[in-house]
Amino acid sequence: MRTEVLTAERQVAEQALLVSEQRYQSLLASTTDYVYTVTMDHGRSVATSHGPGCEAVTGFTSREFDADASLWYRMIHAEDRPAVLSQVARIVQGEVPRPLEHRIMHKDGDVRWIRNVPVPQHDPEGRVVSYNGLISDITERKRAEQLLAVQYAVTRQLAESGTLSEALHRILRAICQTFPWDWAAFWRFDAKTNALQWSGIWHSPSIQMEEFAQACQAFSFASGVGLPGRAWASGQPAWIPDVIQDQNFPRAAVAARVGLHGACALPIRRGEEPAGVIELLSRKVEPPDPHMVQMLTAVGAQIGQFLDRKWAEEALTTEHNLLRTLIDTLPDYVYAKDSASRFVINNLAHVRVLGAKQPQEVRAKTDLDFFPQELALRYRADEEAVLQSGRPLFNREEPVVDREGNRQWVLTTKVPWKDSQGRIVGLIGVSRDITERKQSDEKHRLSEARLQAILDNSPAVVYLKDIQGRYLLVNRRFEALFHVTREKALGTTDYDLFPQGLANAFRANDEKVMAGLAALEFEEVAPHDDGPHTYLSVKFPLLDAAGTAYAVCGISTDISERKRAEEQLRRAYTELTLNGATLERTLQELKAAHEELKATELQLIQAAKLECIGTLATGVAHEVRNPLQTMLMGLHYLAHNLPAGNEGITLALQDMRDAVTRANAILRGLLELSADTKSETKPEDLNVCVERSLDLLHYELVATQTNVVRQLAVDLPLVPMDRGKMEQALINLFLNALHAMSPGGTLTVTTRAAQWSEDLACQERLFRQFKPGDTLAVTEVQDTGTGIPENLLPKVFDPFFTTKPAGHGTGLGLAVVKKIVDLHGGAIDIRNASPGGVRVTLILKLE
Amino acid sequence: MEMKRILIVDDEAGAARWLKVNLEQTNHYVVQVENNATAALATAENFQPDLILLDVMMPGMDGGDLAQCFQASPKLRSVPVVFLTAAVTRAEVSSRGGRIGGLPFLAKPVDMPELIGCLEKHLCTP
Repeated sequence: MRTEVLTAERQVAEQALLVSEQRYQSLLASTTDYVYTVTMDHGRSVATSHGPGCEAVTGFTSREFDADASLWYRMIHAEDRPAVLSQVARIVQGEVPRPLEHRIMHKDGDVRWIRNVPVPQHDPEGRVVSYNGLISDITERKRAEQLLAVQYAVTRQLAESGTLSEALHRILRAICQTFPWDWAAFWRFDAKTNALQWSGIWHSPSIQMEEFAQACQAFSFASGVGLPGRAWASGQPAWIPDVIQDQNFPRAAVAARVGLHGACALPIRRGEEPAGVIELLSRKVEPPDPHMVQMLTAVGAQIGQFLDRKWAEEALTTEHNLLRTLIDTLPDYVYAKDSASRFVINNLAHVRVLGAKQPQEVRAKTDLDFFPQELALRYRADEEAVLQSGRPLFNREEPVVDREGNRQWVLTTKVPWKDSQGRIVGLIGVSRDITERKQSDEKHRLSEARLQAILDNSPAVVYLKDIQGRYLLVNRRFEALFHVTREKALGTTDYDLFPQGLANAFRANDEKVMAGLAALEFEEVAPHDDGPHTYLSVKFPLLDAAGTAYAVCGISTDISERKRAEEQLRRAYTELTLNGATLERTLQELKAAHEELKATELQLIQAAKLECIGTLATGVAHEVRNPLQTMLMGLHYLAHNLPAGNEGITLALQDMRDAVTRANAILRGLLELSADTKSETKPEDLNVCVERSLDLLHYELVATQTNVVRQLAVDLPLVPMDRGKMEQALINLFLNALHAMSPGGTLTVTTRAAQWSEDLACQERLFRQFKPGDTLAVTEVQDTGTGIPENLLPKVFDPFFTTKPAGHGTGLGLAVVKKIVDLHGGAIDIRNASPGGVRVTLILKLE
Repeated sequence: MEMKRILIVDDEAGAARWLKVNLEQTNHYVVQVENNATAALATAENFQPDLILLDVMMPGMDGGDLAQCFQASPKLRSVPVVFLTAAVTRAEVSSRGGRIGGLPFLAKPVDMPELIGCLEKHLCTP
């Protein structure tokens, strides 16, 4: 029973084992992995069996492994064998080692990565009796990891590099660190020579490669030549297992010397353009590795993109630096502002005018931070207009005040700044310092004005004409003489201004000056209002830098008078030599003229004397009248307070009173004589003036029983006169007449109109201010007094001259009358009348 | 008949003194003299004249300016002012109707009848 049970149990177990074994076998058959078993005996492997999957992983069948006991060892990649042997040693010593990843050489020659997970089996004493291993093909994973690692390394190096050459250098180093290459270099494509040139960028972990790098400098590769040329030509990575054996590797000799063999070249493209080639060399002979090629191709593409970007950046940086240098070199103020008028870009000139040293100091600030508020707001208003309208502001002249308070003038242009969508995001301004120009304009203007002022005040005619004869400049004398304004004259020629004959003459002279290139003198005739005048013209050319005449300047002086005098002199001389009598007459005339001149001179002296007396009188009057007032008051007091009846005292007081009165009369006369020398004339009735004057003397006329005879012309036109002054003159004449006559005398006053041609029985020289044909108003005042001695007549108009008894006249009456008549441009004559008395004739011009 | 109070402002002390004597001898006037133009306003306000005879050209203060001060003073506003001046002639006085700048004036030297005639005229018509 027990045996049956046991048998039945064993059968069940065997059945279960069989199922398990079948499951295991089918599992093994279904995986790419395989299991091997190593049987040990006393620490030595005695047999190895390889599971059915071994062919899929290694290319070798289990039978091949069975036939060749060392195949498993040879299959291991030479570099990885030590690691595998070390793992085996640890297993034998009883350790359970960690799984090992290593390379094997597949039967097809390819390198594969495998993962070897050993599981030792122990006997009851703990000795290792065998071990099983599970081998998995992890080639794909490894390659993917490697590619990722390379890409990551390259990406990191690229990201960390500032410049293109730095990036390339780092990439080369990363490749050497990631792949087993001993030399990496970059060959630069040079479009000019259409060849790959040594870039100088290379890397090698080994220091012996310096010699190879030195040698490379001498090389350049055309398309298809050498390893780099081949990669460039094909656009694909090129591989040489051993460069020493290669026919197309010009550097083979030096490669042999430094011990380089395997090589690969990787073309780098920027878009469609070749950029260069990365060349990799190894100390070992390297059979072509498609996976390496695949990885390098990916890296190449990555580098190409980077180069593309880097080149673009460098081009941008270069352009930015160029533009920055350009605007910083400009003396003009260049700036950009955002839509809130905050500074975004400022060139150095502008930074300086803002009082800063670096552009950063002014960034994001506005004009309000730098300029007086009034100016800043004005700029802002202009900018608002540009931003709102989108229309540029061109050449606005505006003031700028810098930090030191220096005032400048700038010429400003502001244009809208648009983004790529055409939206206005700010504005760009350029301001040019035109202070010097403004100052120089002002200086020029002043200089021009000075010159014009000098020319305008010259009595000569001054002008400037261009070579076509058009006036460029004329002075005021020119304008006045030829009745043309400067504006009209400029641009015209002599043919526009003068008769053709004269214009021809002027032009001919101008041309002579321009041809001779020297100053010349001409006598020229120009038309004046009173007929042709003769001019002495000095004309000279104005020369440009090349010595060519571009204008003619003329200074013409009127010499008509001189010419006339010369002519007269000539004629006089002729006559003199012919006729002695003429000479005599001329001498007489000259004498007469001389006499007249002397008389005029005397009159002038007289006038000056009067002027002087007048000034004195005005000052003296005030000072003398106050004492006179005191005397008058004192006399009044004495007259009323001295005892009456003393005839002597009464007489003395009366004489003193008379003396005061006379002193005051003299002062009055002097004041009147010196009264203002202007008279305001308007047409007045001379007869009314005569009547008013007589009325004012009514009391005196009645007191002296004077008989007044009026012979006043009824149709006398109005006479221009200052009535007040003329009345004063008449009163003085009437008073003189009264004083000259005994009581009961006759005063005759006559008025009439007359023509100068009529003989007025006056001395001619007294009336020389009138011309024949003038209409005159004549007033005559005649008395029946004693007359004036003939020899005294010429002196009667002198101040202080009097024929009256001492104490009865101031001697100023007639002087005042004379002055008033002179003021009216009239004439006065005094003479003794027939049969007796004096007749004064006063003549005024009617028109 | 009530005595009229006359203030004479004139820097010419002699003339003013004898003017005062002659006027007071008529027994119609009480006269005060002030030779210092700058003190004239105070003197006038104290004296309360019925008429002021005022010289035009005086050191310190011009008669014209002084007349304006009188007119500005509430106490003197209604007191007539007659200028007495050496700067014009009698002929000018008559030709201007005896007034300068709206105020009457007399030309020095003036005699008593003329002066009294003028005073009476302006005392009657304040």
